[in-house]
Amino acid sequence: MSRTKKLSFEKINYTSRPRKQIERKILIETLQKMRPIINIEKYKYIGMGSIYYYDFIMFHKFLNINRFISIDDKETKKRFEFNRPYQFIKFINNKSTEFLESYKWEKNEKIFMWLDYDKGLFAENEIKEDLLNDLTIVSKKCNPGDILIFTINAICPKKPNEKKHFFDRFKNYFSQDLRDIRKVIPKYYVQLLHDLAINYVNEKSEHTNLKFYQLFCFEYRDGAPMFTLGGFFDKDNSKIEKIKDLKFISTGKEIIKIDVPLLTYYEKIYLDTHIDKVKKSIDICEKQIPVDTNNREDKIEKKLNKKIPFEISYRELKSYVEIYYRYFPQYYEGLV
Amino acid sequence: MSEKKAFINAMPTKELFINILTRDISVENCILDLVDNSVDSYIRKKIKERREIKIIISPEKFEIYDNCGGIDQKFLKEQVFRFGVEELSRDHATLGVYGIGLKRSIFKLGNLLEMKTDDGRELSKIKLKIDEWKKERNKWTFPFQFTKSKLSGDNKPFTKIIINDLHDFIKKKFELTSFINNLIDSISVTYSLIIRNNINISVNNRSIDPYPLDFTYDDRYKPSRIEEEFDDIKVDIICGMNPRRSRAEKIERKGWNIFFNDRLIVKDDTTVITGWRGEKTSLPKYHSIFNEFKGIVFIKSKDPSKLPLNTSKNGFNVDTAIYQNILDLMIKQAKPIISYLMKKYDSEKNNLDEIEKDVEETIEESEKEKRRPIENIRVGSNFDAPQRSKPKEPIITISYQKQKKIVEKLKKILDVRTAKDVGSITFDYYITMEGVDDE
Repeated sequence: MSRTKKLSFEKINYTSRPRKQIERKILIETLQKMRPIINIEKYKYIGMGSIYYYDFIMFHKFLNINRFISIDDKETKKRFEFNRPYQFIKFINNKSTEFLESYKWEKNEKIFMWLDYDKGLFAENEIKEDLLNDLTIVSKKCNPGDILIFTINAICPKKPNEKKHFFDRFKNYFSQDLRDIRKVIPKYYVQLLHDLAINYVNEKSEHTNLKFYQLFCFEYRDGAPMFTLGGFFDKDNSKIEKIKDLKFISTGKEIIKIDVPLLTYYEKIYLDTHIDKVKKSIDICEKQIPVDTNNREDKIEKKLNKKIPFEISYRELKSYVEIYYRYFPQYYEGLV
Repeated sequence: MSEKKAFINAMPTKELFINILTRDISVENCILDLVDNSVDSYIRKKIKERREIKIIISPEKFEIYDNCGGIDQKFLKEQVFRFGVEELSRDHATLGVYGIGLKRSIFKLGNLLEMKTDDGRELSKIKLKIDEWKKERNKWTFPFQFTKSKLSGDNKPFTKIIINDLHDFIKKKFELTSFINNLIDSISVTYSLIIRNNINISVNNRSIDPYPLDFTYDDRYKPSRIEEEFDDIKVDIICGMNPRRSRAEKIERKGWNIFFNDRLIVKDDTTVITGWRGEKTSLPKYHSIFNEFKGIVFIKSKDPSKLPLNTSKNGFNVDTAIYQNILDLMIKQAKPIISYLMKKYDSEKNNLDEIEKDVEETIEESEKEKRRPIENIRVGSNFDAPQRSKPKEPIITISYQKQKKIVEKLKKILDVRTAKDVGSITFDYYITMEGVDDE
């Protein structure tokens, strides 16, 4: 078989996407903490595992999920089958839309679905209708308690006619402050996608008795900017109320930005072993520069970089030591 | 055997009004029906100055307020809540005819009605729990309170309707941003004339701009306009074309738009209803080459029962003699434009060897057309449009220098080959994004 076009997993080395890995770990930790309202090990996970199946392995190990379906329509069926880390993962070689259309939602089966696309909603002046179709199908078929997460790339349309096309099609999903074609720029694009996605899902599930309650909302960059929205279908907000204050849960407009520095092995070890000291240094530097100073962050960064043996952005350092160091993956070359 | 006499029960049921009639109308049309009521009050009271309608929508409650005259206590007591009217004839150019809209809308939305109205003479208040009222099967009245008017100073007579205890599916709908935005768009289009001339309308404190009703009208393009009267009905037909700047541009309005007493009823119609039947005596079957055609019809009557409207006001009865007369006139007015567009399409196809890009360029020649509001179009004018070559607007050359690196990057992003194109596209981009008026 000869193939001229590279498949996505051949273009992207998934191991070099640390922020995606952080996202997975955060999801796992949060789902574990959600035990009072959901029994995650009873769920069936439907995902797009590619040939690496990272999410599958982790969800099995850390969430104790035992029932899995992975979907992919690419032609290398044997490769997908071969790379399954566990025999109990069922691989389905089909387009997601066709799979979702034919899949029978059982009333007593809870679904945890992650539609993890590597494409965006809009490319080459075309709206990716199949992606919207997937959301429509899931929104209409889901049962109470089902979890839906989806990830898309967030590359903002660049050409004026593309912006217009995008805006004309979706403007009615945007809240008032964003309903302006001049907001179709990278700065606001994730917010636009957020408005669009949450309103789209709720519009499509309008005729069920369920509502989509948002739980996760992440933005990060592993090369391309990515946007993840996740939530929970339920009849009312009684369950959500119990967990809405958990860390990393966003039920409203807040988009959690996973902005961690890319660190070398030595840098990571240094920061981890000196974590208290680094935190203290940040604290001291922040106190030395009054809040209303011009370019305050630059000034703090300058001071900080005198205390730390390598250059690093103040903002990324702060988020690393305060939040993300626990999730930061470290990759090594291994000889097998 | 002696003959016995008895009576057959022909009483209507409340079920019919509360749960059955409400099925035939969408939630959006319900809200438009309530707006119609306010607009009708404005017309009936012959108010001349600007007034307002305020709509508040949330999952907790629906509220509509207008200061368009209020409701007379007697009228409220005897008429407003009856299903259907005793007689169809009216003597104002209103929108409501059948006496269904208000009640149907309330029932569709929720369970608890609170209404307050003050017409300057009396203040009346209603509080009605619909589900409880429904249980009393033969009771077709309900209480209301009234006192002397409490209006003072500059306060205008008003009506305020609040619907609480919304039905579950309504709550869900009212949470959707897309529902609210679609409603705002519909109000903007449907009441374009009314917002422009008479009444401000807002939804959740967002004031709604009227949808611009305009035509390309300059030295080269002239729309046609004709006025006629049939019976008690005044008909005003404007048609013309809005040339597109490029093939990719989305058409805002196309086909026919028909207003009845200033309210838009038929939107962007390209079906047999407005004459696109493909027969000799009609318009051809609709095709995208006619996308540049635009026709607006205003049908007005002081006797709204003569207008061939259905009860949802989302369509009308086409089999009436009056509509057939109007339709003949519409077809007659549209024909010159349709044949112009057919010719234009043919010549583009032949002369330019079907190269899509070149077709775009010829359309772009009409870049600088002017749009004018319909008021400026004289009754009796005929359609006119340029044949091939058109006089060009004065053009000026701009030249400037920019870093090569950035220009090369932009070439890639914009998918063009020359720096000239980069300059031109980024220039246009500024104009579009900043909304610079090209007049």
